[in-house]
Amino acid sequence: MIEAVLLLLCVLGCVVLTVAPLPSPEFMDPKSPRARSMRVSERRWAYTLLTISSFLFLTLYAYSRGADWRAVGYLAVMMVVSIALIHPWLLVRGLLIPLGQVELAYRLSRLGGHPWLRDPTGGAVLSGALALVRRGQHHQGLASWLEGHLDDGPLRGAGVAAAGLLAASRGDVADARVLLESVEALDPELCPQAAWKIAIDWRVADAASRGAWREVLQLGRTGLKTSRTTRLVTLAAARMTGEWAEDAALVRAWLLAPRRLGNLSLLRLALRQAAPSVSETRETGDAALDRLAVVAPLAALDAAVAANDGHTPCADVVGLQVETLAALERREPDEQAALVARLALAWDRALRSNFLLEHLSGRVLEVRASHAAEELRDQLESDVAADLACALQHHRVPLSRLSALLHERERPSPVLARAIDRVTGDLLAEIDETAQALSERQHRLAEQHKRLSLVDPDGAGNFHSIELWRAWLAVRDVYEDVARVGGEQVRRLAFPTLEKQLGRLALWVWQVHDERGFADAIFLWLLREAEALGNTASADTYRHNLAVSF
Amino acid sequence: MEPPHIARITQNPFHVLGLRPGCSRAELERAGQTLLDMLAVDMRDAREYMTPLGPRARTAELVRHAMAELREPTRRVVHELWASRDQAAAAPRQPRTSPLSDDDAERDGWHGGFRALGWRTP
Amino acid sequence: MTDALYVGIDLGTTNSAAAVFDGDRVESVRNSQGTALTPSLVRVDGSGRVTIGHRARRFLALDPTSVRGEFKRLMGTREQLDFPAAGLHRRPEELAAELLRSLRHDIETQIGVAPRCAVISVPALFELPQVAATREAATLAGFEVVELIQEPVASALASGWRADDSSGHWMVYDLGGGTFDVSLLETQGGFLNVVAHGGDNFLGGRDLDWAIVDWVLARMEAEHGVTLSREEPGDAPAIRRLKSAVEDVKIELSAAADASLLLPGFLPSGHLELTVTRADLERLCAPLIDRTVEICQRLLAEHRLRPADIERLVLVGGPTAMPLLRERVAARLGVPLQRELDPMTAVAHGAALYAASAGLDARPRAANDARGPAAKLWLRHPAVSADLKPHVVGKVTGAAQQGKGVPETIRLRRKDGRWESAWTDLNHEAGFIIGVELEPRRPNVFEVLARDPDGAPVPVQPDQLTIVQGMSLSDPPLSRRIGVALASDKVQVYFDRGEPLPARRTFRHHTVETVAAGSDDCLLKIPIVQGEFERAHLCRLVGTLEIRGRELKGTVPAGAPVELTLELDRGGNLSARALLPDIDQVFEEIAHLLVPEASHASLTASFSATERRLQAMRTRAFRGRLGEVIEQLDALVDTYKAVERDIAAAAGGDADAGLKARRTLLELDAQLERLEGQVEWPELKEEARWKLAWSSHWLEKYGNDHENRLFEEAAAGADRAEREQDAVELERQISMAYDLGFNAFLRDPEAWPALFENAAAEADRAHDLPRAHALVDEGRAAVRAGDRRKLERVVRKLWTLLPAEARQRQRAFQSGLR
Repeated sequence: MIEAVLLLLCVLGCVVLTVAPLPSPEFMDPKSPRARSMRVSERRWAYTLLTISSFLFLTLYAYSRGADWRAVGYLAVMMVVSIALIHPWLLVRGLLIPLGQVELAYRLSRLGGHPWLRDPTGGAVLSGALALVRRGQHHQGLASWLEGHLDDGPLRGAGVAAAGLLAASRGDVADARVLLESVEALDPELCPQAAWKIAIDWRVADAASRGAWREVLQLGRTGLKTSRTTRLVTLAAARMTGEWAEDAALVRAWLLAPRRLGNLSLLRLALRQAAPSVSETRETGDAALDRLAVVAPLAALDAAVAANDGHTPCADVVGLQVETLAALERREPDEQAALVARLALAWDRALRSNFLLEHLSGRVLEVRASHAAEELRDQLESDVAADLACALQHHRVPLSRLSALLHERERPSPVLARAIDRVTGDLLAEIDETAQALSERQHRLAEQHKRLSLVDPDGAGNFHSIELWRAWLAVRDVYEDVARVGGEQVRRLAFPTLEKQLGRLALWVWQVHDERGFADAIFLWLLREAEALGNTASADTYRHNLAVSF
Repeated sequence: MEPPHIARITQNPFHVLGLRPGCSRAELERAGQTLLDMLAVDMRDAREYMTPLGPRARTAELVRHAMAELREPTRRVVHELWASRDQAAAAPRQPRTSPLSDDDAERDGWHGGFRALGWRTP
Repeated sequence: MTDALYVGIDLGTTNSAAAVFDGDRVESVRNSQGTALTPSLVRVDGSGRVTIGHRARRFLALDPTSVRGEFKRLMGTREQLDFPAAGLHRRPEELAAELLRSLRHDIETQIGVAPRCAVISVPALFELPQVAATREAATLAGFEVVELIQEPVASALASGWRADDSSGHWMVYDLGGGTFDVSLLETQGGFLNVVAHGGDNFLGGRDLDWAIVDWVLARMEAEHGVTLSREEPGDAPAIRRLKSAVEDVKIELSAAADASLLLPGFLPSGHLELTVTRADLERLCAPLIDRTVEICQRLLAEHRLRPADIERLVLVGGPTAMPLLRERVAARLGVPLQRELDPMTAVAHGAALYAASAGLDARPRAANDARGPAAKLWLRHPAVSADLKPHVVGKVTGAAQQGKGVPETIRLRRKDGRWESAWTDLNHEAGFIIGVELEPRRPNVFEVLARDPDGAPVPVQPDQLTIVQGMSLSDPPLSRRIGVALASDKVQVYFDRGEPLPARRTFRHHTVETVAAGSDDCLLKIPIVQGEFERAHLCRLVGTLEIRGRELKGTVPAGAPVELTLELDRGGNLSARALLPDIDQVFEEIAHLLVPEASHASLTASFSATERRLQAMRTRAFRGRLGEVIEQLDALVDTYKAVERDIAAAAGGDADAGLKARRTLLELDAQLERLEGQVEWPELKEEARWKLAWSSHWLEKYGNDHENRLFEEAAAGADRAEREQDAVELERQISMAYDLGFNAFLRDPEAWPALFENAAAEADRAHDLPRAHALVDEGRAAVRAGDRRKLERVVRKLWTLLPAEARQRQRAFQSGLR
């Protein structure tokens, strides 16, 4: 009797779980993909609960009827098979991935279930990709096959992680890094936690292999629950960067993490690091003096330039340029800015000198040049500004630091102002051209889509969202780099251009291809940027778009 | 490949041809022709030249371009300004010891990390 | 005299010539008719037999469809020339090869051996496809090694060779049958320097002929009522016959005051007989001659030279034999003429002299002539040197065998016995550099002597060398600028005009688009262009390097570096190499392009587009009361009419006129673009003014402090950009200010209804019409219901359906680089 009541309660619970409405239509659009995936998720858990409770009930029932252990065994096997069909991940992770069974891992994962409830299509490809990277060698045929399946559904977290692992498998580490990092750009609700963990695990392995221990530390401290392996590598990274982690903590993490034998080398490497000492961070006397000489000398340099030898009008300043160029290679951005500013001021002085003009006038007559001395001086000034701009661009020196240095002086530097204008123009052009290219790509795809939909209205597919995802990530990276170098002013001027193109792209992928995850990622990024720039109208729009999508 | 601001110094025609800024047109043609011939017979002495930023490789294309630049009077006058520094004196100093940077800290990578953590090394 | 022989060929549009230089004297090569000039005509008769030059010319009147000339102007195009009697088609390169083969045969008859190498002259403004076609023709004709030289440089060499006073500026005016080149040269201490080039690839003696033909046709129509048209393909043979007669009349008028044009049976009523006077000729030719003079004056002005700075003017090319032309050019330019040079053969002579400078000995390569156990030397020296004290560089590459000793010291002795070097020790690489002294203006032969460590003489191979002292030009200069089209429609110049060849240059670019590895859809295009225009789309696309996603080892994200190297060999052959450092992959396959075909349909379409643009510009200029621009637009009308005439002639089967029309249309576009800049600037300033005022109004009403501060910054930026006349920056700053104002405007209760009406008016341009119309209906309902939020949503959706901005990158040959 009790068993029957228990079973009835379980069934009722499952039914309630399955048919109960979502939290609130205000909170979530019932037709949105997120609502649908939540609904699927609830059903899966209901089936799981039902299976387990049925097993319990039948076991109790069998015992009460005096059945032997064999009947219970059969029931247990049936339950395991049922659960495996509802959540095939257990089988895939435990058996198929280690065996490198790509196709089987994919097909079984396609049945859905934990942990890919938020991205069943991408999750299946990710299972296949995990199996592929476990194989001894990359198999291009299988990789292409898996990549093709990425287009079966909308792009979400597991799909992006899968594309990253496929890139890693074929040896394209840079692409893998970009893609796996981009998993973070997606709304967590559309990114299975397992995919996120896998992405972090790979990135940690990559950073540790490169010796980028600070990057490992950042990855390990994202606040979310990381894998045991990542915890071990993060502790090791703390040792490697001079932060401290106790030996015992390290050993404990090593014991808890899988693959202890393989990780032994890491443990040894970390344990070998000595505790940080004060002497290591101290500058040598030479470097300290040099640092002072770079930061302080804006007032003193006029004297240096004034001390021209009287024979060649640009000798000293060219010498200073040579020294500056050599020094720029091994300086911090602050120092680089100071060095360039010092050089610009020296050139201002040299270009204004009568000596230069006299020298040029003489030479123009001697060699029968077709240009006047003033024109040659202007050309020299233009060349100098171009070189300074090129040096600033080459070292990606933030312009804000230069502007700060210039504001400290009473007299502005025409050469430096010209160089800064040039860099600003180049940076903005960089954004314009990149955004334009993205827009053209979207236009091409839209045209292609339109043509295909005439032939095949249902399958107007052939839309490789992952390629467009890569394209948007690259544009975002270009913008962020430009913003870092150009500072607030350039960022403010560049944002509207990019905003227009990206906004268009997001709406297109959302409305035409139902790629809400993709669109959300763009809107989220645009929202953050609009907020950072104080652009309230844009921010409101993106907030609205995100809310609609949510 | 050197960026333009470095090339302005290192590819200055006077440095490439090993000439003084005051050289005559005949000296320029003779030096250029001789260097081209030396490069053609693969003479080691011609393969490298000194610049304020250290030695650089000399190629026939560089020599030809340098000759063309100096034949044009206006461009020559501008190049003279950039070459007005003793080439050897300005050669870069050896890098000095600097405080431990992030790059230095990153020097010790965990070789074999990928494999140890269960990934195929890309 | 030396043993070497150097061959130069002038492959002309109307006539061709060859010359041979033996180190001492330059001689013209006589053809089988005993003349130095061979008409550039090829005849293929019904049996497929080929006849060249004078013999082909004889058939011009009898069998005009089997004789083809002026194929030089079609080199490098896809154009095929028909020989209906033989039922054959020939490419211009193949016809040029026939002509070169005939000239090669004439040279062989004169010097006794078939020349292996030669220098062939090409117009200075030839582009890469045309240069490549010329090389192909030479290879087809049997030449093993060929170098090309620009015609004006060759003329200058011929003119300046052993000139006594060799310092100062010259101008070479080279009017060929089909092209006009003018070059500014400078000589200093015997060194020849090409300062600049100018010219017109589609202006030549033949245009003078056409001007006379058109005049005769007009008179024929007036006097005899007979109409023949260049636009009618059926009239082509008659026109060709008339043109040939006109050429003869033109030559006759060089000596006489008038000449008769007599064409028996030309008219349905009988003979055509006309008297043409020198005054007629002058009137007809004056505009064309004046155009050439203007080009010369422009070139001088660009280089800040006055006519008085030019020491002499060298006239080259058949048409310059006309006294009328010589007098008019000299008078209008005000520069003394150099008269002693034969304008018809000067180019061939210069090419032969250049062959000596380049060391291109035309004799067949001797078989392995190692004489016994001699030590082998690798010698390098200028074949022709203006320098009286050049260096000889050498290296011992193979020591004497059988223990005959290894050279340790080397000496050079001039054969006339009046100079010898000191004994020079070999360096650690077994090399030596010895400065030699030359006797001026003659070939100098030197013996090479070697001694072993014991002082015993060592035989060496080669044991002598020759250096000719005279004006030299060591490397052929590039005629037109070559660069890479960027996504911004700008050109990154790799090689400027005058760059000595061979040349190689590397620049670092960045991609503007992500190219995913393995993707078939992704493509990185690197277009290589030639021309002097600043905008890429106006230059000629001469090659493309394409990198496909499926060829990539790794994905190349937008902003990734690309190190591109372009290389030109001595003959102007282009190769490109793109290194993608991030994935360490190199791409080298370059698609070489032909000169694009000028089909009648495409020409008419371009012409109509240019016409519309011209009209629009005129309206804008009138509206803006820009008198200067209106004047400049008026000046373009003549060019515009000439294009119309050429398009008509192209329809009549004159492919050359089609190419000319295409080129002129491009130039017209360039001029219009420049003028547009002049018109747009005042318009942009006006736009800036009202946008700033509009934004300021709404910001005052609804803007917050932060927005007002940003607006002030943008307004200051716009002010600065206006002062510096920086259109791009001004546009950017106004756009920012306008966005701020627009955001403030949106806070006005009437904003969204107004925006909705604007968007609804544009709805017909939407790319998804049904959806756009549904949205308009939805919007109207929202207006009626006063639902502002819904209206806002509708308008935003409508905006996404409206077409995007014009695409700039399409114009720059879809370049994937910045």
